[in-house]
Amino acid sequence: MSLDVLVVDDSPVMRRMVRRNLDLTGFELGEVREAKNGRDALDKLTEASVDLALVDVNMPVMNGIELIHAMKADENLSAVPVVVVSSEASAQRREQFDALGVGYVRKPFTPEDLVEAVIGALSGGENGTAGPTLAGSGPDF
Amino acid sequence: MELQDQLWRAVARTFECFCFLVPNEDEGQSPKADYTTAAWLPFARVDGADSLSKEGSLTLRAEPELLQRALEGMLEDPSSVSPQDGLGELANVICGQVLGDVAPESVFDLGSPSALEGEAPPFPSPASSVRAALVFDDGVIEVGLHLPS
Repeated sequence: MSLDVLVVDDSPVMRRMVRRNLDLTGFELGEVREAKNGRDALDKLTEASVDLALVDVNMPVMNGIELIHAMKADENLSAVPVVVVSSEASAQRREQFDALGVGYVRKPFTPEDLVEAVIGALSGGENGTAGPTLAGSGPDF
Repeated sequence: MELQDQLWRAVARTFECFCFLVPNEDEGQSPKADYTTAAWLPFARVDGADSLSKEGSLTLRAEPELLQRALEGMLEDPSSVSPQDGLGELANVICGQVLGDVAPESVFDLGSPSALEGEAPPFPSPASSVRAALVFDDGVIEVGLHLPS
């Protein structure tokens, strides 16, 4: 199966970086959309469903935490697997991510790190939801 | 581990992961002091509702050839990205990483990186600043951190 992904980050450079790393993971990608903040992401998610959302934390208008709360409160979006992609690594933040039931990968990351986080999120290992499954155990490096 | 070592490691890991560049073991090369691009990133430390935010900053500057190589590693085709934006993103990632390492129990709000134009912009360097210089085949990158005490 191919993965439709939404990349949410206020930085166009980082959005391109994440896309490039997704390409390097070896996942079969479908459509990769981009959103520049949480509000933009909700609009994009309303337009078309995705199999996975990769979400930054610090963004203007609506930050990543607010976006995840909004997704969890929406029955149409609550099952979308989420991986937080952030340079923040405080214990407080990690506890917050765990409580929200989302996966996490810390910047800077390697394609291998991204694969691990994505597989965890898609298998429900990180977020507790039954997302799409991938054939096999993911790409080999 | 000393703060300077943590800063060095954060820069090295960022360049290795995102740019596929590994710093040389030999650190004998001196910066040419002809940096054309530098980025400054402010941040605030917020340890709880009762405490005041404490402000700090990180400054990152790179020699032009190295920055070009780094952006090519990051983006494959960096033609549509300004060097300032690229360096700013690297500054953001380095800053988040080193702050998480040196103060894992604290929450930091990272600001938006700003470009500093001109030659060798001065670091916002009070006496408490820590600096690290990393040598790559294509040049030197220098980073300065002022951490709120």
